[in-house]
Amino acid sequence: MRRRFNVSMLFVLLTVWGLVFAPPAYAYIDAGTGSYLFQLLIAGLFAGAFMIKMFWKSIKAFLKSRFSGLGKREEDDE
Amino acid sequence: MTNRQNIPGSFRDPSGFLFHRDGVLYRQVNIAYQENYDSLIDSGLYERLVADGLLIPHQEADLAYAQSAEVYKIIKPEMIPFVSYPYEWSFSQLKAAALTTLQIQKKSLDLGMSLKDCSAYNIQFGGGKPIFIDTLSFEKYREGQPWVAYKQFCQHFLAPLALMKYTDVRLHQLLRVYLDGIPLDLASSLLPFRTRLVFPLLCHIHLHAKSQKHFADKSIDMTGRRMSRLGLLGLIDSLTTIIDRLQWQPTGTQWADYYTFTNYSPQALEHKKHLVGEFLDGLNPKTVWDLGANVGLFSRVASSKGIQTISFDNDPAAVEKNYLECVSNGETNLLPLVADLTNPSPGIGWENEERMSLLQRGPADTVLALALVHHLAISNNLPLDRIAAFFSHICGSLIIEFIPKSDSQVQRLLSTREDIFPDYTPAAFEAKFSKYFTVESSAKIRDSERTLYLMKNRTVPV
Repeated sequence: MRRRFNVSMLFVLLTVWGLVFAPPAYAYIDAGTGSYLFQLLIAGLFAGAFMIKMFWKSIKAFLKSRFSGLGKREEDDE
Repeated sequence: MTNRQNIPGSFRDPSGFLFHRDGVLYRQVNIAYQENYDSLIDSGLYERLVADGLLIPHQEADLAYAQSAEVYKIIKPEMIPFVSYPYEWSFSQLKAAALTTLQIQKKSLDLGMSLKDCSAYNIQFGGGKPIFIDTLSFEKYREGQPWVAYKQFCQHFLAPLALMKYTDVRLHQLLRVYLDGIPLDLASSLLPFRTRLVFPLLCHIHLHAKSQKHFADKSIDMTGRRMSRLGLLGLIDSLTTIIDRLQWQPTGTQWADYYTFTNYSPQALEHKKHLVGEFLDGLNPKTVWDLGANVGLFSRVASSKGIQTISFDNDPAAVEKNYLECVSNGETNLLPLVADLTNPSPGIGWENEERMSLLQRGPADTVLALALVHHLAISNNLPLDRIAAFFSHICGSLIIEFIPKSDSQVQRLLSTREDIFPDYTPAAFEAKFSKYFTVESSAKIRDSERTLYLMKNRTVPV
């Protein structure tokens, strides 16, 4: 649990670092001003949706491991 | 004496280009791409993608093959048996290509890289699966950088798939008109209103198109505008989810139920399969094109013998069914494609050379033209000698079926039109084809009025 916390903290720090210091992007294809700015506009929305999805997945994984762990312990007790 | 030729489809990217030397395909990696190429290799991404069957493997080759002074590396990619294009793919083929591209982008981000372009032409089908062929499409990911290929991904994959599902499956042909994918304002205007109620489509197509229009003539300073990594991952996840959800059922089209409405008896069908197999055994071709293949019943006679077989049909529903069967059976040497023989894929792009015409991608060792000639001659008014000339351009040998006017299928075609085809007879058919082919063998198909011919090309196909 402690390890997961550390990884999350590192992730947040990296994101903040990126937000503050990232260079402008140039590419050989035209990213398109409208497309480029639109991504920035919707990024927060998709970030939130993605976080909720990941959070839900980890809860499901936790519950699954918890119950399968309990089941296993009960089997061991028997 | 070496024969060198740069490939016209690869000149846009300054990172490098493809060329042929003595019939072998090479890719020059330019010095401008050195940092990204080294990152692709050193990060382990190349190894991981190749191991997962997502990226074409390559070997580094002799620098003496360099085509210009800007060379950093010369690589020799593994060859794809047949180059196909997105406007020739069925719905599920384009969907598989889209999901493969997103899967690659996710794995790239995991290892600190990102796709710098997202052209559907970067995907080919090899061994029955979509595979990414442009080794120079990767760049180092910089935190805060939005996805430069987002617009291209929406134009090349999401817009055509949404149009195929919600408007008409034939609209993937727009990719033939728009080389860099379907413009989002066009897709937005062609999609029905209800797609605005599907949040990812509202976002990635309709609002995206409005944003493009709004900022079209504006000069914006991009300095300091950044996108979080989480936002980028969310964007990729959203695109993956919507594309995964898009489904299309092939029903109600011309050929989708052909074999249930045919006038064949089971004996005739089995005998025809047997004859095709026997002729193929005699020829032992490496490549077969089955033209007018429907769902690929006879293509599988060839592919089951280990022959690289391309199964062409003009009905997207038949091609879809054929592809789904390939996937379900894990078939590796059969590729179904959409093609209208009366208007086959032309050379398109700059100087008509960036994407090859269908004929440029031939000839095949053997062509199967089964129950096809009556459609070309009677439904499309193509004279028999022009049909024979066309086949002489695309194959070394030909397995072709002639169906006489007395057959109920031909009668059906003639039932709604005047019979202006006095030359449509077995004798005229043999005479016209004899100008280009020698008839090696022929056999009546049991329990039918049809004849199957094995012919060899007298001329060298061009």
